[in-house]
Amino acid sequence: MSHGVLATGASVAGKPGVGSDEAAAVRAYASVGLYALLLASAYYLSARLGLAFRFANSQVSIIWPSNAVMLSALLLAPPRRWWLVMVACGLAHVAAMAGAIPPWRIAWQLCANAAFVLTTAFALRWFSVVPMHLESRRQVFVFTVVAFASPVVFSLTTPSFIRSLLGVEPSYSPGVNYLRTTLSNATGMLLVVPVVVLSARRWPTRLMEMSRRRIAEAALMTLSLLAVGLVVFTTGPEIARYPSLLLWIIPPLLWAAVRFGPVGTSTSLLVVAVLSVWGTARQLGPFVLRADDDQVLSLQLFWIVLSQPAMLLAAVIREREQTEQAFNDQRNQLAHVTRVATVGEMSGALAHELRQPLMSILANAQAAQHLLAREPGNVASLNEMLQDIVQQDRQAALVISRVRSFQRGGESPFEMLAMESVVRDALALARSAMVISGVDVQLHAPAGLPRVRGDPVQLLQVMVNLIVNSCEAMDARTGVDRRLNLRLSSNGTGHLHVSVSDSGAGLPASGEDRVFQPFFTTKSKGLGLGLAVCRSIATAHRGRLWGENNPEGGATFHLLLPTDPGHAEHTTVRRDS
Amino acid sequence: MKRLCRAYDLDVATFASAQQLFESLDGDGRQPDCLVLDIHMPGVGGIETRTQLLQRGLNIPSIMITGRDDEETRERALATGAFAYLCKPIDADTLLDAIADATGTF
Repeated sequence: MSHGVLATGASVAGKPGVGSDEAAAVRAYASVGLYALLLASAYYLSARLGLAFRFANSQVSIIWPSNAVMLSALLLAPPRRWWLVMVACGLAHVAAMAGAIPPWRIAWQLCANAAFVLTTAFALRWFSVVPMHLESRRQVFVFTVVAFASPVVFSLTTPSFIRSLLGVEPSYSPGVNYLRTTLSNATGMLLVVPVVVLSARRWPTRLMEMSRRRIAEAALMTLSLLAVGLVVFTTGPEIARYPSLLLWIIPPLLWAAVRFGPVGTSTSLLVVAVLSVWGTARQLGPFVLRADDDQVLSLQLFWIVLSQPAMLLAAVIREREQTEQAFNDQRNQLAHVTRVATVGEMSGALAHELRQPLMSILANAQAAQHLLAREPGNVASLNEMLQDIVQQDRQAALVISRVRSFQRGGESPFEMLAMESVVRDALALARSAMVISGVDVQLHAPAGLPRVRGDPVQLLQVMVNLIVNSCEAMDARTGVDRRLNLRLSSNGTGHLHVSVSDSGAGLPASGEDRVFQPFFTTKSKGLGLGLAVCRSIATAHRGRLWGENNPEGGATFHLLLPTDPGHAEHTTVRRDS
Repeated sequence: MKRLCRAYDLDVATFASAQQLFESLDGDGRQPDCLVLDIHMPGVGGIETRTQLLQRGLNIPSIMITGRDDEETRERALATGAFAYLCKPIDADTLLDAIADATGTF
């Protein structure tokens, strides 16, 4: 996808089974031809637009977008196709300029433009701004510098500058001419290239992925931008008496930068640029000044000042989102690894759990064999034994499927769930560990508890960890009643409270919170990550997990989870713009 | 298990917990010839049951069974004077042989 239509053409040629090789080649050529035609049309239209925005009495435009179109095409195409871009744009340039300016001037422009755009494309590739995403501060910065630096050099080669230097075109001084050409090319690149390149690379796939809510938000953002833009730029020139009105354009732009990334931001900036040029051309809005030249300079500076902070903000936000995403992925992976480790630690207990039904199945089968040998007519007893075998087999299968779903990797979507059923699942998983430790369990769960929003597997992991830890803490003590109390309650402040209380060895005296530190462990086996991961799971659910020693001995762990769905928004939702 | 023993014409009673066993022993006073005790039970386990019976002066031949075989459990079980220590899943012949040896029948 990164190389746009040209790459698609190449992949069509390489795709097997689309008919004969000849037909595939024809289709590849057709798609390349279509691409060249589209590019030439885009270049032609942008050049005509540039001509329409020329300064009075001058050959220089306010904004020269066709160089930006050519540069975008070069950035999207692989270098082996650059010749095609150059030819298509060259022909379109001749077509657009024929009649407007003399042929020698067209030829001069062709050479100067080609040198300029090719150099810029090489520079951007050299500084690895290709493929362009503008999702990092570095890329935005480098792109801005190149977008200014290359017109600074290139403007020395244009016919208007050299001829005004030679005094052949005396309408402007060489200095003014140079400044105009530089700024019109720089603004063209800054405003047009990001929109074209990012849209070509991202929109087709991203649009499909956008949720209805995001589309509604994008529409609202666009509407507010258009509304503010129309008010500020297209109501009479007296609006210039209220300079603060110009600042109204900032909130919709920040909205775009924060929520819609570089694509949304660059598109919004282009919309602002188009609206301001359109208004100013009709002598409306705050940029209407006595001299046309001053209007133009003021407009260009406005765009430049507006676009860089907005694009940088979008990049910073995107960098942050990517960091958060990476952090969440790592947390989920770590949670999975520790779940697998927990199952490993519980393997003895799980084997015990499986031996129970196996034992029963074997005993029933052997009793049945014996019965068949002695009194084969006793169908009722045989049937009873077979039923018992079936039931025990199902029991064993249930144990295995419970463990399998507990060990499942990846991230399950947040859902509304009843914590009581999570606790009961955890007790079922840890049943053998409790039986082996001879633990007496009591669960207090009043009816009508609010539901919480969360990842069922990760919350199950927290509960299994707390229960198994408690059992092990009680294993360490002899001569006391081994009691495990699980209590669920709702404290009426929008939280569900789960407490796991044991009569075990208690938490280390050196600090109750140390057990939550990674790699802290009091067990001979175990990574020491269990509770650290449990706490990060609680935090990701906007909840809390802590432990304390009981006055009468043993320890109690508390898990607090928000019940208000609005407060438990999934932290790992990917933005889809 | 109960069904298996019955199939071999043994008179069997089963108890879900040590408490139920004690109540039965205190009740009709019938003393079994042999006990099959699961070491890992919710609440009072097999080893503790035997210890408590011994404290009451009841030395009934006992076969300990477990689903979790480790050296320490085995030693603790045999230290109480258990007649046999078997690991689940237990083959019918093994169990019946142990019962026969313990009761001195067959």
